[in-house]
Amino acid sequence: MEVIFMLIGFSVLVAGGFLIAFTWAVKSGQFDDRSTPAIRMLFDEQKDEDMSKE
Amino acid sequence: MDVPEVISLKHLAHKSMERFAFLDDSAIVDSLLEYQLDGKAQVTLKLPSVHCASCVWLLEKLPFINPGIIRSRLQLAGKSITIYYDKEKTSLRSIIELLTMLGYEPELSMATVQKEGQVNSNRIMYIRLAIAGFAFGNTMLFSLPGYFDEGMNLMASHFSLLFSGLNLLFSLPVILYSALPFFKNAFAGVRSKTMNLDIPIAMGIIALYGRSLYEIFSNSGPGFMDSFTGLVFFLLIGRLFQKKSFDALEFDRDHSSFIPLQCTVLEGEKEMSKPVSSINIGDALIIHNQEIIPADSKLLSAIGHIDYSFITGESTPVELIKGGMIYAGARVLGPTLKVEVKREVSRSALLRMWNAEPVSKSESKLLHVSSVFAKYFTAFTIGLAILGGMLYLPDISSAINVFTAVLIIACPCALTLAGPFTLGNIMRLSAKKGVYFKNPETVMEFGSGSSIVFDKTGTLTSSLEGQVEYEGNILLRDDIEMIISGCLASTHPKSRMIAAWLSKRNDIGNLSGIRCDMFKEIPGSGWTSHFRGHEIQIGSSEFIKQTTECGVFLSIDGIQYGRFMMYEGPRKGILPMLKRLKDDVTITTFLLSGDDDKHAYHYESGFEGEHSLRFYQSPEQKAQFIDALHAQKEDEVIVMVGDGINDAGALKKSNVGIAVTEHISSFTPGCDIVMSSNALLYFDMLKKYAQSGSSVIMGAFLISVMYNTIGLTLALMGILTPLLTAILMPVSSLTVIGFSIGMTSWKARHIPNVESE
Repeated sequence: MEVIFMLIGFSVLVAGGFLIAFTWAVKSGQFDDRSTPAIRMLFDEQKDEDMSKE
Repeated sequence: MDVPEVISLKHLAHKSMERFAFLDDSAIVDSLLEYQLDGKAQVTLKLPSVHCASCVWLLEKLPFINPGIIRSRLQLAGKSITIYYDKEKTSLRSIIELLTMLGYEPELSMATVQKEGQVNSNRIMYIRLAIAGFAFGNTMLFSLPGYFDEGMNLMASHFSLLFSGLNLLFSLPVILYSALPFFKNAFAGVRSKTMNLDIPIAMGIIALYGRSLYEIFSNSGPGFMDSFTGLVFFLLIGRLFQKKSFDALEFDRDHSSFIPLQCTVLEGEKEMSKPVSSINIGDALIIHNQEIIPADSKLLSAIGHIDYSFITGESTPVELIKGGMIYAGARVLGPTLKVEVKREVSRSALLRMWNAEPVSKSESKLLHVSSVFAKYFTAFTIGLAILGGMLYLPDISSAINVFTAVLIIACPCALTLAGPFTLGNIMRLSAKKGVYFKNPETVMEFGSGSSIVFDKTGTLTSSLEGQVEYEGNILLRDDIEMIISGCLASTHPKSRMIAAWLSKRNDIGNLSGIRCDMFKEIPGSGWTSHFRGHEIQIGSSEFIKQTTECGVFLSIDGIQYGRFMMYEGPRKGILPMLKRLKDDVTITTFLLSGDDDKHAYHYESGFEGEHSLRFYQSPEQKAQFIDALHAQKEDEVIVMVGDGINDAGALKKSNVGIAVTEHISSFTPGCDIVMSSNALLYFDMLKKYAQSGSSVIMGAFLISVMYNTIGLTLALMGILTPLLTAILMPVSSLTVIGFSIGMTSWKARHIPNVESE
């Protein structure tokens, strides 16, 4: 049963990784605007080239 | 006759761009920019007129229109755009002028300079939720073995220490970070001696956490860390559900949102652009067309047209003569005005009203229904917990056991789940119907309102339902055609109204054949036209050289004929709504109006008897009337429905102030609910809907009581296994949430949705 110690360690590590990833996503503003990106993706993107040149 | 119109439009466009001249001042520009580096800069602007997918498409293509713009990103929900541009190639002024030309004029005010905060609070909310959810998932895993018989053995072994330790570790960030807002609110409530719903919630959390700590440290049991983290997690979800903030709508708009950044000061003969913060009393200001007056001032020009719609929501401009006071926040229409500052910006009537608000609010709102609810609920819970504990008294550990158990069970079930989800869902669905509640407590209060006071002008009436009356010499068919010919040439809305009214009344279908020969309009006064050899003049009393007060005067060939009177008629569909309200015996309705009682007959059918209709009311009298109602009906909730600053006093005095606006983004002082004018037609249904909130919460409460009773009975009979408990708890929570959301959605089905702006 001692393997549980190790498994718990892994599970906490993995879950903690997701928590950190989520926190990073929130802090980098990915959840600030949840309506516009859905619309934005529908436009034909020729402007992408121009924008990448900036 | 089209030509002068075009010229004036061009002139107007040029004029209106002039008002952005202050953006050439680099100090002002710097205060607007978010950051600048290597000649590039970023700015975020609020664009109130953004509304659809096409706006996103157009505004994100700005780099094609102005190559100096490197990138533009629109945030639809927040109605704001972030523009990254090259300072060498373009300027902030030309960007703003471009936006204005495209029809998206940015809101530039003192508030634009001092912002931040809004986005961050949402982010913190998400992180709080994530941490609580993370802890909930993990503690649940570690606590699960404890629910099984074998698990008991397992827990008894060397794992128990590890699991308890991990549970404790995970619970720390939850109590210290995730649950913080509840403690803060509860503490604020205790300090200001007002009850709020967070007080019992904070008590429940503390009881649960304290007891778990005690069990873990005294080694008497595994504690309830899974229930604790789960509780905080559900609470935060409920909060998020409730929060559904209306991004584009601000109830707590700061006064600074309404004061412009800059103004033109006249020094000697020179016009100087100065920041508003450096204006002094006695300064002479030049205010152009469409500009906002920054401070209370006296008019120095002969005549001025002022639009207070920014403040009051009333669309009819006010005419002022020399010496008249203009209050800060008013917008100038037409010719440029010269005014003299009478009060400092910080002491304007607008700001004083603002600063006075919290005091009167807390005084008059002692009767908060929700706080009454919270008070009784808290008292009831604590009473029950103490009573339960007392019964076991000699045995202290059992007594504490029962005491905490009651707190733990009573708090979460009814309040944390049923309340937020029911009220939150009502808020969400009401927003679709054009009603925006400031907070969930307002929903309960609105529903329990028993006296409803309506303002007339701008609230029950609409300028779209404009009606015309004529008094004076009898008009013959020829006269009518003459008048219509001139009216059609004029662009003034009053002329249009007269034309429409005359042609409708006299059945003149084909208006196209009626053309006048000569037309000359003097903006703000009236017009002169020639038709079949006659001269027609229509305009203000001064224009026609008469002395009688109001109305639009008519003279034909120099002979004074009579006058047209305009008044706003009741909105379509408003009278049936008033009648439905009148038929409801639990509600008393009143009408307050600043106007004369000439058109009272429109409203008599909608109100009970003459005592409920009051005319000639000044803003102070309106507020006093609410006070009198309070005194007369002590425990009742008074709802005031008004439309702007002239009702502001009454709105603040009432328990629930509802501001009715045509545009939801316009300024609404001291209100708890913003209601679109279309939603007003379903006022009675909306009120019933809000009222249903408390019965839904009661229903959800009964469901949780039922679950608890079943659980308790099973436990007493010895049938309740730990596994069954573990299943029963989330099932009861989900039932309560499902019931709350389901019932509120079902009850909203009859109320039509209002097309939002």
